[in-house]
Amino acid sequence: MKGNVSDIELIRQVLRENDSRAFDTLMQRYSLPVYNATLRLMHDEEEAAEVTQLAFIHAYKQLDSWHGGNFGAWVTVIANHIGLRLLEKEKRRGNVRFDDVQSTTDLADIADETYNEQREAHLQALELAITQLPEPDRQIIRWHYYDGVPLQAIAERLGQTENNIKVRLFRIRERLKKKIEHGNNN
Amino acid sequence: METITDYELDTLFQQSAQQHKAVEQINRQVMRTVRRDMRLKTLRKWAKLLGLCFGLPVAVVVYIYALFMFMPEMPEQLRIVCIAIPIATVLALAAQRLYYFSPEV
Repeated sequence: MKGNVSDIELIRQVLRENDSRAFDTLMQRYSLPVYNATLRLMHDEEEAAEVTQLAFIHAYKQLDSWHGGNFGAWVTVIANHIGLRLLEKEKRRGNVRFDDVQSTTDLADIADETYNEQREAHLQALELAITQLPEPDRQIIRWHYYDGVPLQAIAERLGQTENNIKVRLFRIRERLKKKIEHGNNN
Repeated sequence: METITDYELDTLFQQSAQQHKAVEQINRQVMRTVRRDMRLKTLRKWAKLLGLCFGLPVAVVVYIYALFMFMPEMPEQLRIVCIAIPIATVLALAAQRLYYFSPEV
């Protein structure tokens, strides 16, 4: 388990021992924030996924040129460069999405119909709110909403009744709603 | 202050789960590339080692054999060049290795 190992140690393991698990841990840590940042730039989920993928592969290949600091921020910068290049290419090709773009500096501000700023803000608030939950509550959320485990099965796993889990889930949901509404300030 | 309804929260959970799936897919693709690259690196390392252990001695033996075969018929200056070139090459390679040597990875 490499959960508590620092970024610099993981990078050393990748470079010295060719340890792919160390890079996997780095990916688990930073792929979601990098993907979200790229989505803000690209405004398209498929393109954001592609750019994030390219950014991590590029980061892996250039790992020896990383000089410390926040690894996630470094990969985000790489993703932004790749994303902007892609947007410029699309603009040159005369893609309909970027017809109204006057200069490359406008690219990051393009509003795309498929992208919803508020939805993304809520999603990020939800992610943050989930991470702030106590571990048992977080586990219930993960099982039910991310792994699709039915409440009955969760109740069996935890040795509780289904009603008990329903009540717990209701309370957790209320807490999450409040946190999203208040922007995770409470 | 905006309020989040149950329906909106359910939609957010759905979208968040989709996003997690997308990110997992990204992770899988990247790790596939990384593992393939690492395998290639290991292969290249072994190929280099094999080349150094067997290829280099074979090349040296062939070169020396060729020198012994053709040297008697060569003019004096060409003999010197034939001996000086491999020595200079080995020295240049050693100097290059020392120049780029780093105790780090």
